[in-house]
Amino acid sequence: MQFFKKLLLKVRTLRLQRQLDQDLHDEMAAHLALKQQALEREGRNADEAKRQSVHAFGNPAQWKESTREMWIPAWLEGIWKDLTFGTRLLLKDWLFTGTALLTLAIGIGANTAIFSMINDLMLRALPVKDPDQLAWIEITNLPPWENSGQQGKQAATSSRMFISHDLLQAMEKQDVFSGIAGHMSLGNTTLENKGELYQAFPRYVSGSYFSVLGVQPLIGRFFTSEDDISGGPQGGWPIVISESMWNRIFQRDPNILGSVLLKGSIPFTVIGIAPASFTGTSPGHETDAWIPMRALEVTYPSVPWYRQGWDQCEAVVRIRSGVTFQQASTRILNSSRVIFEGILPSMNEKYREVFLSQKIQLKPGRSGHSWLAAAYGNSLWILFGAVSAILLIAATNLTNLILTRSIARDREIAVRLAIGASAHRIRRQLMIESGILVIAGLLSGIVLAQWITPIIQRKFSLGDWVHLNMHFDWRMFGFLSFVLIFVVLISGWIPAWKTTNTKMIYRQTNESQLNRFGILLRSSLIVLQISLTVALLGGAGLLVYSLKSVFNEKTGFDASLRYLIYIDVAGTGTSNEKLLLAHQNIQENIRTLPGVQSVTWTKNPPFSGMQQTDHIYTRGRISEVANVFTHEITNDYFNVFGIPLLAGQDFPQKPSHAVCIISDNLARHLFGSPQAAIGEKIQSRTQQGKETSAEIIGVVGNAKYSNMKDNAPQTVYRHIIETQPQATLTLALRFSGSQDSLLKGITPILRRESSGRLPILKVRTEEEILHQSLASDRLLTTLLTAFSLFALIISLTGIAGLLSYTVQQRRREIGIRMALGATPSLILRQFQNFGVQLGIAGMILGGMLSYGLHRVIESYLYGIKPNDPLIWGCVALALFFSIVVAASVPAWRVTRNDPLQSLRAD
Amino acid sequence: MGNNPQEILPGTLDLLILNTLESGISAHGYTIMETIWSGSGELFRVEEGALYPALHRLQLQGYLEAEWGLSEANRRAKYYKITAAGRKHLKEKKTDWNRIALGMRRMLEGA
Repeated sequence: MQFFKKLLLKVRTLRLQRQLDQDLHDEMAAHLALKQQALEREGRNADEAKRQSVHAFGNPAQWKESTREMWIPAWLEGIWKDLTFGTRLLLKDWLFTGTALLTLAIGIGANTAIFSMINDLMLRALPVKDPDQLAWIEITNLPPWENSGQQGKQAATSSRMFISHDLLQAMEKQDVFSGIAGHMSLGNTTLENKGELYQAFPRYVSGSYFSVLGVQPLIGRFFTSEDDISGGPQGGWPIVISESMWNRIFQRDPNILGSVLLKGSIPFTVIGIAPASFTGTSPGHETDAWIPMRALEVTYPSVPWYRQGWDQCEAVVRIRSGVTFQQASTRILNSSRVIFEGILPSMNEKYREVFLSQKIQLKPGRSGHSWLAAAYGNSLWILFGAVSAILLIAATNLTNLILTRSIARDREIAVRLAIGASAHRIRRQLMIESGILVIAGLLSGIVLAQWITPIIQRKFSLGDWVHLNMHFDWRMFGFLSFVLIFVVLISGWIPAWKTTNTKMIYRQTNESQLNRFGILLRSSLIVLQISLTVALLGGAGLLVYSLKSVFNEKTGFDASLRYLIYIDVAGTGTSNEKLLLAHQNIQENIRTLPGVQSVTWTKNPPFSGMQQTDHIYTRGRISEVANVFTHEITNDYFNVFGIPLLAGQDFPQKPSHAVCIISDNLARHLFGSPQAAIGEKIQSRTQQGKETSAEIIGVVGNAKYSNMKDNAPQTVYRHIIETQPQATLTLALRFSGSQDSLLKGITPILRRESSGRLPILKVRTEEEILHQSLASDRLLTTLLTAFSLFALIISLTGIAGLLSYTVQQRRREIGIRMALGATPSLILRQFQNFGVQLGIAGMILGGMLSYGLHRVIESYLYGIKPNDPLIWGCVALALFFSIVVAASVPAWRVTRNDPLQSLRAD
Repeated sequence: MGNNPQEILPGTLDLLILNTLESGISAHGYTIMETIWSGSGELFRVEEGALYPALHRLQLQGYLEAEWGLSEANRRAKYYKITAAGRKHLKEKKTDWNRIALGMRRMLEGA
């Protein structure tokens, strides 16, 4: 402590260095005056007194120096001097400093923003106890009739992380786990406090949830197994809310425990608040409230969440300590069959084997798991590669800038070296200068990143519930330190080494040799910059083209003026029997509103990210088809979305028996033509292996469902009445009017049908949904384009900078040649040639680089191949002309000069 | 350094300065110098070149504190004052010194 106190005192003195000098001077002067007086009193004359007193003092400079050194250690003073000197020089050279700072800030800012998103989404461990012991349950080797309704991007149905409640319970007995917890989500909902409705994203969790994760409550308590029992614990159903919800609804009221929140008509008593760090186990997708899973029996009485086939439960396990992940994983995989035998539903002999051969696997759980990571992970890693290239370009650009400056200072430095400054001292001076720049760049980069991250998230509407925050954890800190060291080494050390390499300086009898080495070094840096720029520009060009092709794709339905209203009628506590009627009444009443042309209910609006597939059987030409899309709707769906009816008819308001409508491509595939399909039957199987059969009453045009890049899928449309009633349905309307007038019209209808409540979750347009479904592609395309343009600009300034330097070096030569009659255009061409040579070398290297990287981007391309000659030709041409222009400017400026003046220079 | 009889023993300057200020007065460097000169019966002459670095060192060590005031000649002057830590240090140094002085006397005079 004492040491730091002293250091602090010394540093403070440093700041007051001038003050210290003044003090020493004053102290000495006062001393001398007193002594002189005393001597005069003794009777000496004034001059003699003065002489004697000064003489007695000895060498004042020497003791002043020794006193000063006591206050300020020499090394500290040296660094301080270098710092102030460096800052002063940098401020004087504001054009250089401004350019360097701007490039660095953008380079570092982009890196920080992308890395913080990656960190938050994929790297950061969950804020729970021993996150490395956690694992997620995943089912593989799924039966062919598997339904999958997964959130996020279109998922291959070869595995799923959603399991049935039965399976969750069956796994509790596994002794490789010290605990297992399940959680389920039925999407967004509203919670009511004192008559006000609040949007929330709740999770239904098993009683063991918080204890398995090992999270401690901020206030109150978390659930125990007594809270998650049928009928609810004594004193009513409990709820745990997030810290942000506590903020939002209760303004951080410390006496919140015991307050009641209404979900529909069901009261929930707040028993605890989760700490701010814990927002669930899906990074980026924050949970607002936790409710015991068994409360589903009252909040959604219509949902058969406990039944097999409702595989909506995500399960997290804690592996017993002493057991490795590998051991637990193998054990569980090997016991898969036994576990499934324990929950075997009554099913047809034929399908039993398929059911039993499903496999249970473990996935590491330390970072949680989120569909966001699956949807955006790859794009983010590609972008991370791009921003790393940008950082490399920015750093080499800084190297070039510093080299230019240090070459301009060669003579100054050579003189300093000659009069005895150590190479070390000068290197330190140069390193400190670039250090100042880089640290200033780093700080502005961090500020910039904090400013652009929310813009990125808003611009690409990564969903309403996505919150990625910049967490300054050790990983972030490590990353920033790495960036700092990387940039300082590249941009500080190379110039410092080059300038003070005394051997080289002494060897050079003529300056030109040194300069030639400098130009070689700088040229290769520029070739590197251009090659990276080529790869970035090409990638961006391909992506822009693909995105355009995707947007031009026909979806098969009309998205304009289609409103989607997400309504949670089931969540108001309406019973199973009344639910269907309520939905029908809502549809009928809204149809009569002015401006409404048609209206329908649908489970999953097109491109909403939800999908369901089925396995069907027919007696037609082809007996079975796997992975047919199933879409649950009511009558008028095809009217709303403008999908043409090709044969047969639309659903009636209330189908009297099991009927379905199929898409044109499925009808042709199965029966040869749309007309032939009418009256035929389609069989499918429920999870329990029970067969159902539905008559085809209509055939409609093909329409895309969840992926713009795929062909329109073969689709079976079923009426909602025939499938299990759903938690949240979406009302889709064709409406000409404003959103406000629409909401005003439907509000009273909804209140009437949901016992006075207003279960509207959100209102969207189909166009927004379409746009959002491409968010990941748009994110990648837009950012990569921006990054590549930035790279282009830096590379061009780099070329212009290098040429203007060489031109400067050769002014005398140019002057002589012009005096001897060389035309300006000849001189100009000579410099353009140099620039073009660099450009071509860079493009060749860039071409090889891009070829090596083409696989990375291939899966994002649509309607174009990675080696598309048009795109690469455009990139090469654009780059070529930009380089010619950038190379011409400095040369052109010199040829404008009077040759005589050029000769006189230097 | 030679055989100057006015020369003070190395290591004793701190002790002399602190001792001068022990009463709690604030004194200027010149006053301290004069006090040591007269107090020692004109035996010890402290050089300015040694006094001021010593004063600054003691200040940095926290044994002295300083404030600025006006001298009799109406100049800006620095006044030094002993701190609590300085008193403690002085006490230890005095004990040390007395032990050394006693030992020296015994040895040299055979007492």
